Amino acid sequence: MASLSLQHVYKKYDGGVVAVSDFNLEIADKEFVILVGPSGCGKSTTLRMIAGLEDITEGEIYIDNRIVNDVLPKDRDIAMVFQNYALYPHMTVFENMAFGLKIRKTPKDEIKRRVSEAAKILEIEHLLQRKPKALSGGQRQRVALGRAIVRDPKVFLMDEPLSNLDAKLRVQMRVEITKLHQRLQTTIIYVTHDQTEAMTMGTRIVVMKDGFIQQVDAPSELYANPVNTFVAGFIGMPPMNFINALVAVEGDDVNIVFENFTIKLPERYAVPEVMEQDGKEVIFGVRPEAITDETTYVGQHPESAFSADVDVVEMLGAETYLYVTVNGALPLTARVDPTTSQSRVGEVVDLAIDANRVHIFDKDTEQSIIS
Amino acid sequence: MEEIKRCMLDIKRIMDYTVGVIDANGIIVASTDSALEGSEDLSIRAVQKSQDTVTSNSERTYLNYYNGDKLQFTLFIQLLEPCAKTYIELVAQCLKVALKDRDTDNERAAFLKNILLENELPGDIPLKAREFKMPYSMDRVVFLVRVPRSESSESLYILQNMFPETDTQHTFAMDEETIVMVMKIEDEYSEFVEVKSKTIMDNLNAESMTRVKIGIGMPATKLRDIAKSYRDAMLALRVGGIFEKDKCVMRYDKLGLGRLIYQLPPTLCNMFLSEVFADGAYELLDQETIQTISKFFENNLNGSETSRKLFVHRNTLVYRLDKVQKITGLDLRSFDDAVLFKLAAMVRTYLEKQDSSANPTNTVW
Ligand SMILES: Nc1ncnc2c1ncn2[C@@H]1O[C@H](COP(=O)(O)OP(=O)(O)OP(=O)(O)O)[C@@H](O)[C@H]1O
Ligand SMILES: [Mg+2]
Repeated sequence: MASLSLQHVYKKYDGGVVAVSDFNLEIADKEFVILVGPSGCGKSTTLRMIAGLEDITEGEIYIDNRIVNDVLPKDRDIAMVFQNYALYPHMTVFENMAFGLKIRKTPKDEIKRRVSEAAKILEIEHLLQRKPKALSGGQRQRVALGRAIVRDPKVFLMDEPLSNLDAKLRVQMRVEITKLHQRLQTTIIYVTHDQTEAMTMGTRIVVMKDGFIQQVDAPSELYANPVNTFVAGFIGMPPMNFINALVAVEGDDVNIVFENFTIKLPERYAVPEVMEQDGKEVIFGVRPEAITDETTYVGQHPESAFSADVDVVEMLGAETYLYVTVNGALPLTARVDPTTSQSRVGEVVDLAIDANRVHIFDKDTEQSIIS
Repeated sequence: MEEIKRCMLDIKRIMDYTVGVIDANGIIVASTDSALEGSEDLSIRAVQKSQDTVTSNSERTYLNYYNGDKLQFTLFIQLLEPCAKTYIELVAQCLKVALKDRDTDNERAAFLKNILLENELPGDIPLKAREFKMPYSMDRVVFLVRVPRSESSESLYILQNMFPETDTQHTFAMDEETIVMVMKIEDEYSEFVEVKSKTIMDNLNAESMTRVKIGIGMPATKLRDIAKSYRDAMLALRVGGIFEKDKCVMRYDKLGLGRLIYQLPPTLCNMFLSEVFADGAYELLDQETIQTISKFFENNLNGSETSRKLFVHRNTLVYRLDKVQKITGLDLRSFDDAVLFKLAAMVRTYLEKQDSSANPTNTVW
């Protein structure tokens, strides 16, 4: 159990590659924080710097208000779980979990106590005498977690621990790890490149790109109020539609013009930041679920309606995705209700945007103007 | 000693009686009851002198364990019933097997070490390989795992348990900070070494929180050729340590230009350097400019991509590249000049590292 603080942390490799830039983050005791971002954005580097397995070029890292820049990894009281974990094939589950404690010369009774406790938390007590060969993938993953738990560390660092598991097991283990966090009552920093994983597990998510933190927020906040086009496009599946559009202000009304359609935005968008974009090009962001083909809604909202050609209809049961093209030039994705949708491939469909849920981004800086 | 202790642990799992091993000085060196370890057995003199292999006093039954004619140690069991004799003999058998396994493992490691150091006659290798039941023709690769000296025995212990000895997989210490792993290549070489090296690194990192460097050689098709793979792996560690000192895994096949430069004589390097960067032009470049250049190279001389990654305006990048041209005479937007710059910068790094470390094998740490 510990709090963590990273202050202006940089990692610059020989030859100039800057893997992590000005990383600032405060992590409270018992928090579950997720680092997410595309491959190469510096997630692992950040984690390894916290662990002490990688030197920090600049900045400070504190664990429980103690600066640890020069503390050896062994002495930081941290446990790590990696993607490429391997178990000791000739040892039982008990011995696998006890191994790390044994080499640390932990007294026997203490080892026994900690392994039993961890096994209980992980619900693998009945497997303690088995060898890894006789375990399922999920059980092995639990043993790997158990090896970290028995250390009773201040902080857990997990670097894509689930990415070697198949899709179904991954979903199951996500839940397990979330539960584990509640049971252990400890600080966990979890790295993944998978936004779904991040959204379903984290209480706070750090979105990274090219070594920079883009946004730190709760999942719902990231989804509703992304600070820039990167976060907006990275979080959410299928991704947000980005439309090159023009802002046209008429009196107190704000209109968004794209292709040959004009969409009137609700009053709350009529703020100075938006008004001053009058006549300028912006990036108009619309999530797929904010576009509907429901006829009553479309009929009642002529101010945000437009039409498009349906290219593909993807039925997933609880929801349907429409892949459409506006004006033969602008591809969009819509998530519609399968019980009411009548859209067919090859037909022209009338759609409407829920104008209360749109985003406007600056074309040059790609920063959000309003959400 | 490790084997004896492990053997005691195995016995503990199957038997409820206390069993132990006493050395020639009468000290209990291993026991199923670890509290006894380090204490002295007071009856040991009499037991050692006895002509019978199995003897007993008022609480323990003893067995003298011989290696040939020599008394190696004495075993005891805390039991006096008639069955104690049977038990203690069974324990002796277990110990014998454990020690024999260790001897074979050690001999095999010595054999492999001799191949790596080219102390083994090439003609003898296939014969000895058969003796050790190791396939002679098989695709293998050598990994060198370098760890800090203080961590080496722990790391060796972890790796030997994680990758237990088989006829196709061997792990042993080469010196105080180098562990050698000779492995059969399963699947495709590149994929195999990538995954294996990550597994080695991640697990050493996780289990002992130790920093490691791994050097990887080229594939060897015959057992004899692992010597070459070993040399490759060494060179990878050394060259990688110069040009990419933060990297944890260095593959010989990925050394690229570094390997070439490493083999050039320093005088030639100095000459080349003073030709490309006349009057110490490189030293005149500031940190920001060097970072810009590195990003520009990283993005394959693509200007818009580079300025985006650096969060600077396109014109700023152009300005910086113009500045580089003014100082060094090289226009990095031209492929030839870019190559020349990259080469010279690497040569410079190489010479710097050579100066700063008299002993090149130590550059890794
Ligand atoms: N030793 C090194 N030398 C130079 N550059 C490095 C080194 N290690 C990593 N990098 C670079 O630093 C950047 C960040 O790498 P890092 O491994 O932290 O990314 P990541 O976010 O974990 O990606 P992934 O999802 O692929 O694991 C990458 O551009 C990578 O190429
Ligand atoms: Mg990573």
